[in-house]
Amino acid sequence: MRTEISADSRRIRLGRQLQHGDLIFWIVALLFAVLVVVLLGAIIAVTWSGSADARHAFGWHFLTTTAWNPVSGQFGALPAIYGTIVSSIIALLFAAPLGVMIAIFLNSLCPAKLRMPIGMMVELLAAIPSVVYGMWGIFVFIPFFRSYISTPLSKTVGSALPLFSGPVNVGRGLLVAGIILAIMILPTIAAISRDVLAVVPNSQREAMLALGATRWEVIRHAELPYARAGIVGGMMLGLGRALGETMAATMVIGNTPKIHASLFQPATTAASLIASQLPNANTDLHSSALIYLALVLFLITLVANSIARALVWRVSRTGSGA
Amino acid sequence: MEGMPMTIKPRGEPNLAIRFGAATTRSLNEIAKAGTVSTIKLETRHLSVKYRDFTAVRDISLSFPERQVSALIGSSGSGKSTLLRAINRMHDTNPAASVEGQVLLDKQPVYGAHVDPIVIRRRIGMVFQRPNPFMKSIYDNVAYGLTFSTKLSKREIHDRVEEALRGAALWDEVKDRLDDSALALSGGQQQRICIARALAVQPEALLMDEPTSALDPIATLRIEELMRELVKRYTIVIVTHNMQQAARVSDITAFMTMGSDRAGVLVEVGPTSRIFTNPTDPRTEDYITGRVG
Repeated sequence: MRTEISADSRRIRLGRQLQHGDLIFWIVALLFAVLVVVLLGAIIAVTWSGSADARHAFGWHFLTTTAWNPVSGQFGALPAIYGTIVSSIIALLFAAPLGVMIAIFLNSLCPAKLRMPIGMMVELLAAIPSVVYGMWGIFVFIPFFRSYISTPLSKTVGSALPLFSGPVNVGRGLLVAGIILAIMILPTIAAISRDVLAVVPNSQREAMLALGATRWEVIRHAELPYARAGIVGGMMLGLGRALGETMAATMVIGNTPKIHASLFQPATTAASLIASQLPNANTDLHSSALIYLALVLFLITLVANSIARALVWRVSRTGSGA
Repeated sequence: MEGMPMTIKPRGEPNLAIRFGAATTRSLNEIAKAGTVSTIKLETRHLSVKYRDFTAVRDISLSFPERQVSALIGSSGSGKSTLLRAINRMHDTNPAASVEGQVLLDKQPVYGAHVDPIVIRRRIGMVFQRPNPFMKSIYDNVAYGLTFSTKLSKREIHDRVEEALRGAALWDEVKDRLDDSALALSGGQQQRICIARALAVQPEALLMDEPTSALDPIATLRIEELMRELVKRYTIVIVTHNMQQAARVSDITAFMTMGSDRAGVLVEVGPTSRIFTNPTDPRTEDYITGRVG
């Protein structure tokens, strides 16, 4: 009985939707929506078929071997995967606490007059082209980093900690790339954290205040726990951006497909390896290996973004981070 | 309460201050001024609260006797909640709000230059309109106010939590599931969690902002019974829309209304029995007989 009625009313509603040009609008909108799915499918199909040679030649070993030698036809993606993940994690380590602090400041500590200008400036960081970041890295940050950070560090703790060992004269390396990436993903993390902190219900804040909590305790015990999942989601979105960032990373990381213990040594990321080598790839296997690498990178960012979306989605649905 | 000779005395019994000789004259004067038999715990003097240019309440002078329930009644927009929140300085965090006049706690200014609002809020607890437990376990909700700013051992915290839950008449219902989420409780239980949470900090007074407006009648009655129990130890100020509630639970009733410029003003205050049977102001009479509001 019930199902008949609902099926009937659904038919009536559909009928109404199709009247008066709604049908045309519906079809046009549907086409555009389908286009997104088709594009995604096309990208997967191209990377899949394009990487066929390399997949047959190296299989899963592609992910675990370190040799990258276009001349001898040996291709292992591990250095690029390592560089991608390590530089992104470094970026996240710097950007996450900074971004959350900026969000907290903008939300609860900033004078109302400064909130808009500072918030806009943070978001403006996202509008700077990545090639400009790369140039700034080469001309400003790398010389500064070499004089004041990497040289003193490698001379002191470098002998004990391989992570900070020299030589440092190249300048370009994993840590520099990570820090530049950190600046680039900072606005993403700050903006999302600010937005999720802003929707923490006032009742939670007031409950904490009425118990005699200080401003810091309100932030620490009421706001951050409530917004936690959303903030983590923002961090994962930032991570996703860092993983795929190409131009700035290519300019400052040194483009050397090798795994070094030291963060001061040049390395490479998947994106920068593809960008720097694909135009010069002479053999089919070389291009195929680069496309295989693109497929791997696509999967890595897909996973990071899915986690991020899931976390942000959970917050917006339940309004809670518990 | 230093210098006050009568700090402990059952509600309704004659004042015992006479026993104490020299110190009593001043106290008796104060009592006479307040027009009740009890010490004044909280007081507002010419209190006005503004949100930017808009005056939400104007020139309210009220005394809240110790260990009594004082009810603030009046229609929506009469500034009851605004007044209540001025007492424990909840407006401090709203940059648009400004408070003029004085609030006194034990005769000491609440808005003094060297007064820490955090200390004030620990001495004057607050319960809100909607139950707002934290997304934590029952135990953690009640213990939360104790985990910061105080140096208590685990044992002491546990004792305080149990005491507070007993005080809020909730212990027997939740003692076997203290680790469950507080959000799994019913609305009435959640509100009693919020009361327990306020009690755990050991305040001297409790401000309740329409504490039962989100609850069903049975939960409301339980909270009202609880208030009659709590008033033996705490000074309570309650804002309520429900006139029957004010009549049931309060000793003192203050009626507020919205003035011509939309600012909340005090119309009249007195013992609840008189306000409800023999109000002096026609506006009060209109309100309690249901002709307006």
